[in-house]
Amino acid sequence: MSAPPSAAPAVAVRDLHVSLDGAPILAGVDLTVAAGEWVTVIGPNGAGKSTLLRAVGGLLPAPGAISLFGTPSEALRRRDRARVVATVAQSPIVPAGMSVLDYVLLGRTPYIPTLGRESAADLAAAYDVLGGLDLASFHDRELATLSGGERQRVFLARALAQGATLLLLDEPTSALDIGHQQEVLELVDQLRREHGLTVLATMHDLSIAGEYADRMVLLADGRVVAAGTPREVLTEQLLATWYRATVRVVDGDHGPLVVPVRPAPRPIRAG
Amino acid sequence: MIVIRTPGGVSLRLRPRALAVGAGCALAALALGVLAIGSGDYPMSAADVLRTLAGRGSPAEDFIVTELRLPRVVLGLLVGGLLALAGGCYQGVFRNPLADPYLLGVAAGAGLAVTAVITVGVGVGGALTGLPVTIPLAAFLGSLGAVAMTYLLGASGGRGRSPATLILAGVAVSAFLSAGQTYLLQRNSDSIQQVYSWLLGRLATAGWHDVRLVLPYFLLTALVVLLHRRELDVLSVGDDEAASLGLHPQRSRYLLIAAASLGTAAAVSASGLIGFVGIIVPHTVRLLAGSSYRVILPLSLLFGGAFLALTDVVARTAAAPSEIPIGVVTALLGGPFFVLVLRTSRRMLS
Repeated sequence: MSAPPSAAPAVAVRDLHVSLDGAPILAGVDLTVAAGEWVTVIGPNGAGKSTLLRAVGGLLPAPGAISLFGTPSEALRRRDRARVVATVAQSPIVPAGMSVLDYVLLGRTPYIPTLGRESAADLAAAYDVLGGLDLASFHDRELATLSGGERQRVFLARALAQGATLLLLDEPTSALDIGHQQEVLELVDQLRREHGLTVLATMHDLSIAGEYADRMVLLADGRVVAAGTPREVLTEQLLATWYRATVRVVDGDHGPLVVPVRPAPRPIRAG
Repeated sequence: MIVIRTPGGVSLRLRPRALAVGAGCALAALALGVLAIGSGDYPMSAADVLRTLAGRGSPAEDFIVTELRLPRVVLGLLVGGLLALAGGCYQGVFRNPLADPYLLGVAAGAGLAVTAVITVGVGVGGALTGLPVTIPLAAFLGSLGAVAMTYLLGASGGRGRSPATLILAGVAVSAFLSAGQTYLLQRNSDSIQQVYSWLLGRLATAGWHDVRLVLPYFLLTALVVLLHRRELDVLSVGDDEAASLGLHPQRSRYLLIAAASLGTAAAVSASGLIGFVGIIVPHTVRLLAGSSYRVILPLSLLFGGAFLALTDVVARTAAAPSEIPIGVVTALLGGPFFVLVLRTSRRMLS
């Protein structure tokens, strides 16, 4: 994995507008992610979080708005972009009957010529990743038979096999119980430190999001309404304004913890 | 799966089940070919068939084998292989296990064109239908015309178009063209039998003529589809993920659809509408040898050919001297066989 030029940010988004079928989804988003940083995008349902990730991943046209490691996104060929950016979708399709090794080898696609097949180097790369994620003994298992946590590790393995330095994670833990959520995020953080990866994630669980992110971005109605450290973004006032949520924010060891509390009951008016 | 790694770094991945099934299919195709050549009004033993193929048969045997039966067997291998390959390809392209080679209107287009030629031909005294190329040509053009209509209709959905849009367009086009065919048949009920004998499929050939017509399309389709078979595995994780892996999903999809449709049209033009092969064969291969399209597609080509060669023997001999339409035999044999494979593979998996 080649180190990105240190000067250029991993992701630079300038005034990004995206409309789908005429409806504006993103209306002028600015976002910078430094190389090696973990930035998590939060926001209420429909705020445009997934759309932002799709645009950064090159799945939506955004001419002039996005640079990756200093290169305008649209100047990258799709195959070259796939060597720089790897995406783990919110709920990836699990093809019936596909083995773990075959799935991880799909991550080598940007290195395989159009009509070619996997080379020895591709196989070696896939086995390296499987070993690194304690998945070596799973290589022959059918992906569909794995548990949720194991599957999430395989999805990550496929993304790592791409050899990309920027990891886009869309709700990486939404299907997992709390133990597996921690396991997967610890793993991502460890990989980030070991391989110098940059992480741009979207998450719903605010406490967990705050514990892992260097910086957070609060997206609402297609715009960035707050950005900064978890402590700056996860405030009772901001969450009340943009989520319409009643919460208490308490200090945790690794960042603020957001505890939902039941709003004061409205008085029942008699007849 | 077995992975061989040598110190020099040369790695080889073997799928033992796929290799075994592949070898079985190839042997079956050869054995069934010999059996098919030997069976008929003038039965020949396998040894006689092989001797004649080696060029040491009597002139009569030589004529029967090389001019009458071999072309029919070869055509069966080509048509069966094409239909199975096209079916497997469509199933991958549309991520839909129910897709078959006739999904995008090929059957209805060919049906209408052939019905039109036969009914109009009957009207002008059979002059038109008398030519050996008229019906195949009509079927070929009708098939491709229908796929083109389906594509244009599906593409008119605009930005929101998806594989499902194309399937729906295929349903609409098929219904529209079938209505036209039904109307023509109602108006010309005297030609119903001739039309139906074509609709149910047959491998009766005019020697090597049909083989020569189908072969170029067979080679082209097989080449394009087999060379892109890895892309079908990538497409199986969804368009977004395929795109983020560096693929152009829409581009790959349309190339594969074009190749599979061309092959199907060629198969239909030579042998009518033989149902079942394109859906049963790829599924059987999937159950026997694994779910990667890199395995399914080449094995479907072999298995489809062997399967159609076998059904043609049954079609020719079961009710001799008359012939059963091969489309009827494919369904009668294929259905129970598929259920058997489904049951045994379930047991193996659980």
